[in-house]
Amino acid sequence: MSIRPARIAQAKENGLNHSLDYPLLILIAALIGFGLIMVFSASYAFAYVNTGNALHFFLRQVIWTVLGVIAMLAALSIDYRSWRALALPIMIFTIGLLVLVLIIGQVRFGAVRQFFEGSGQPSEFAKVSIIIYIAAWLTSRKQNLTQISYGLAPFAVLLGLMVSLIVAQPDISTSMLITLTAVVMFFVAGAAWIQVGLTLLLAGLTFGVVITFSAHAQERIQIFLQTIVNPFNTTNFHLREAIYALVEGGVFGQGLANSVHKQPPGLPAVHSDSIFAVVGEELGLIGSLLVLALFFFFAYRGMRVALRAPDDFGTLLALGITTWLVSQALINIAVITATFPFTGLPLPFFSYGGSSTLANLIGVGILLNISRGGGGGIDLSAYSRFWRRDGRTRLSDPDRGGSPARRRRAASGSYARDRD
Amino acid sequence: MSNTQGNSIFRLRPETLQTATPPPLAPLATDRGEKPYNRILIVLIGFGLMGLVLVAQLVRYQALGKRYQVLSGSAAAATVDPLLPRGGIFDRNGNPLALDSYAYEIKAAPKEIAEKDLPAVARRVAPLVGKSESALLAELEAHKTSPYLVLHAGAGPEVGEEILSWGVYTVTSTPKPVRYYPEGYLFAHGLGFVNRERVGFYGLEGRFDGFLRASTTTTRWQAAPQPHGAAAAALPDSPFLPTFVQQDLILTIDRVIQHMAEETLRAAIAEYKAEGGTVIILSAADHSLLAMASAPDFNPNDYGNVADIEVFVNPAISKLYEPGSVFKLVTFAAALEHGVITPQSTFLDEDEFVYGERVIQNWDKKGRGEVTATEALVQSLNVTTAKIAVEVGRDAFYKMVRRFGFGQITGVELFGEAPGIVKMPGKGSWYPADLAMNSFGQGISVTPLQMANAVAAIAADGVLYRPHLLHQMIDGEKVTTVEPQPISRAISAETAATLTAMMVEAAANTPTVALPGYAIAGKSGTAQIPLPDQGYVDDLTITSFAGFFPADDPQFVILVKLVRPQNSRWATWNAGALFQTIVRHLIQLHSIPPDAIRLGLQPDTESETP
Repeated sequence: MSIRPARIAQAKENGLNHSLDYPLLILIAALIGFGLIMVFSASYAFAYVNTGNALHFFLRQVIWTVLGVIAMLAALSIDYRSWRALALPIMIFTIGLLVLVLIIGQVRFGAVRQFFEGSGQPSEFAKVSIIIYIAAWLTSRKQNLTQISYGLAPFAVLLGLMVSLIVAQPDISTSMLITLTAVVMFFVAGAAWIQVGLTLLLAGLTFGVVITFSAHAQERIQIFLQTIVNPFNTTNFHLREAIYALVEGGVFGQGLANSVHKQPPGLPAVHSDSIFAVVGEELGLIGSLLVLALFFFFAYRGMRVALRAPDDFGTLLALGITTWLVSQALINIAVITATFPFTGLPLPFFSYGGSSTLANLIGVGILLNISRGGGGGIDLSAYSRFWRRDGRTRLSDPDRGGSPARRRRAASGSYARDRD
Repeated sequence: MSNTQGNSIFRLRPETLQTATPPPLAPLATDRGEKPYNRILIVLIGFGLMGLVLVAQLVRYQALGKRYQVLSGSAAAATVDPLLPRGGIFDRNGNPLALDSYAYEIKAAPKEIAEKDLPAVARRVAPLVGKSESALLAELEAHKTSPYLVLHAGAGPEVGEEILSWGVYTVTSTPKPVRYYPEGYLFAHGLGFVNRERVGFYGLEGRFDGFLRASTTTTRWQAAPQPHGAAAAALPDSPFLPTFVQQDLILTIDRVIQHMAEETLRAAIAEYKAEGGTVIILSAADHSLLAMASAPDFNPNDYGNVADIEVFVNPAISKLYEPGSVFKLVTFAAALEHGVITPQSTFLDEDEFVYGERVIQNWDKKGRGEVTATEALVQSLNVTTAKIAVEVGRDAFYKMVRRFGFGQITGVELFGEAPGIVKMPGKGSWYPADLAMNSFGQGISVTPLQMANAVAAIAADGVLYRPHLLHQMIDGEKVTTVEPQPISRAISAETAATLTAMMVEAAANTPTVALPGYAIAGKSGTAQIPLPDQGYVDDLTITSFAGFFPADDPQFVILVKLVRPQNSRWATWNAGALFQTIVRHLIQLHSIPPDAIRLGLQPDTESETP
């Protein structure tokens, strides 16, 4: 084990050392790759039937992923502390977008959620900006957080305002996700237990009211109660298809690309909200547990970043981003397994969707920036260390002749014989 | 615990308290707060717990899923093939009530057809889809870049099979099973319907949804042995359709009697301007349902086109009503069974009988003076019936109510049966006055089928049976026949005979019911309908008549019920007349001779015994 005095000195000075979280970066790369494969596998049949081009959704998702990775690298190179200063303008811009979508947005799936033929859902970006804003707000309130009048009441008003705009679309699931993330941030920021309790109570009451007055929501809750008892006999066609897909998958799966339920007319929203069911059917219990494990590892790395962040804002921002992505994944999987009332949240990194891919990767970029303790500009030396961490050159060396097996064959002359 | 003096919202280490706040954007600057390890750990544990629940669910579906399905009896539903036809439903004589047929969706893929081939394709396909050649060509050219174009949404088997036999992908034919109810409205409440996603709802379609989806299938698109099963005859003989073992239901319902019941009910509703009604006809021989008709009803072929989805609910088994005086039969059965009365016991029928702070009166608010028990039943006297119930006693009365099957489902093979509401003594909502009220059928809620089945128990020498409308379940080679199933003895055979004699008196003294030459046992009931805020309203009634015939050797048990008849609110008029019409029809349909001739023709076995 080599001793690096400079790093140690730096670590001593800061209490922690801050370098890019490579395991997190590798994990993200794995999630994106896995997700793209699944988008192709889940969407080709649906795409062919509906557009005549089997690659329709896959190619679009590739483009969005490329844009997303560029956005992630950009976010990674922007010092996360600058978001704190920009929190308010970003928030105002987001609220403007949300209001705009209510006025001119299109109605799809019974809700007004997007611009431009389904490729711009402002509520996806609202997730990021609300998390930034709440992190900034909580950091600036610091000492007074535990007082009801100064801590809880403004927090509730603030959250209520933002969430009500999204509820109005109506997108109850995203509002719920944002509320959950905000409450977790409030809790970790040092809220008194009674405040957390009160907030949860208030949130519960609000959703109780929404559910009571929205036939849309009420119907789903009723189907959920019926489904949790016997998921095989649910009247929700979507859920039944999803569960049958999981059951068909069994332990080892039907094999990649072999899902039957994805073939239209089968599992609805097959490449977006239902993609986990396709993973389960094609890769079996092993594949679905792998997805869960990847997200749990993401939670662990994200929380580690939060704990090692240089300041409170960084801690809360990392916590918020991690909580958002992990809860969204858990809720999506819970819906597909009939563990949670039916709702349409995409599975991060897997589900098809431009805005969500972009928003998720921006969030991850910010998280990665926090992991390296802020700082502007991309640290190129970090990249060179990454690529050459084993100390070997990456150029191929003709003299060494490739793999040991090939060298052995070459030595024994089997190549010559093969050619005869 | 709030740290009012620190820079951090998190608790500070003592040695860092004196550190000044660094400039906000300095690299690696820190406010060096102690991080909230515990709270973040709590959040992580929360994620972990949620994750464990999901792992459990995934293991449940993916590792144990197939076994779980078998346990929950929905294995058939799990492997449902969208191309498989559902099993059929047939009446007791094999007449189809619900069947599947195939409709073929004819599609073209203009994008896959070369430009020069379009006229040839149009020429060949146009006559099959009923379009002119030029129109079809224009349509194909207009959609030249589309991956598919529907040419015919529901073609018949000749066209569909022809195109399937071509085996090309540019013009395709997709068979889709379609549910069809050949008799339309007939027995709609009992059948239910199948929705567009091929899921059965209500009635038998809902109750036997898993069974009716065929369980076994061979690979699609393969020539294979032809399907068997009663409904298979209705399906096209095709090498392209899946083969399957069909699962059919054979009912005890008689199409002719059901039709008669529906027609007479419809006529009675029109004549008496009622809002609705129910007719139930049970076979006294095996306690099977011959007819179960309710109005208003719906056409299951067109289930999406109803004004109110409440119409799907089967009133005969799901709608509760207060039975009124028909329920006096239970009171008299209890009294006879416990020796409290004989048909000749006398009672003083007064204008009013006060019990449990409740004033009981006869329908005309007049007492009859001294009457026998039989007269009390014939004239349907509430005052005397309440007195009898009080004499029988609370516990014995309610025990009899339960033994006749009230307050519990009958177990008929239908979706959504209601158990009724019987308030039991000792429960919070029961008051002593309820005993007197219940004795003549007010303050108690039953379903029409429960009431009919209780009367059937009197006809069956006092034994209560489970009513059934399923005769056979056919699963390929396996045939399960449903046998009459006794539940328990409600009353002794002697009590049943005595009560039958009293019912014959009651029916004979109801002019609308009595039929010369035939001994009918029956009892009328007129129940006021309680409104939520006004209590019982005199003018709103449910009239009913329940009984059986021939009284000495019961063949048919009949219950009729009319909701809110306008012309006369008394059951002895409208329900009685409907009851008699049904009896007349049954006599004709089954050629039942008058009692004198029937009994005269039978060898007199008793006199021959030494």
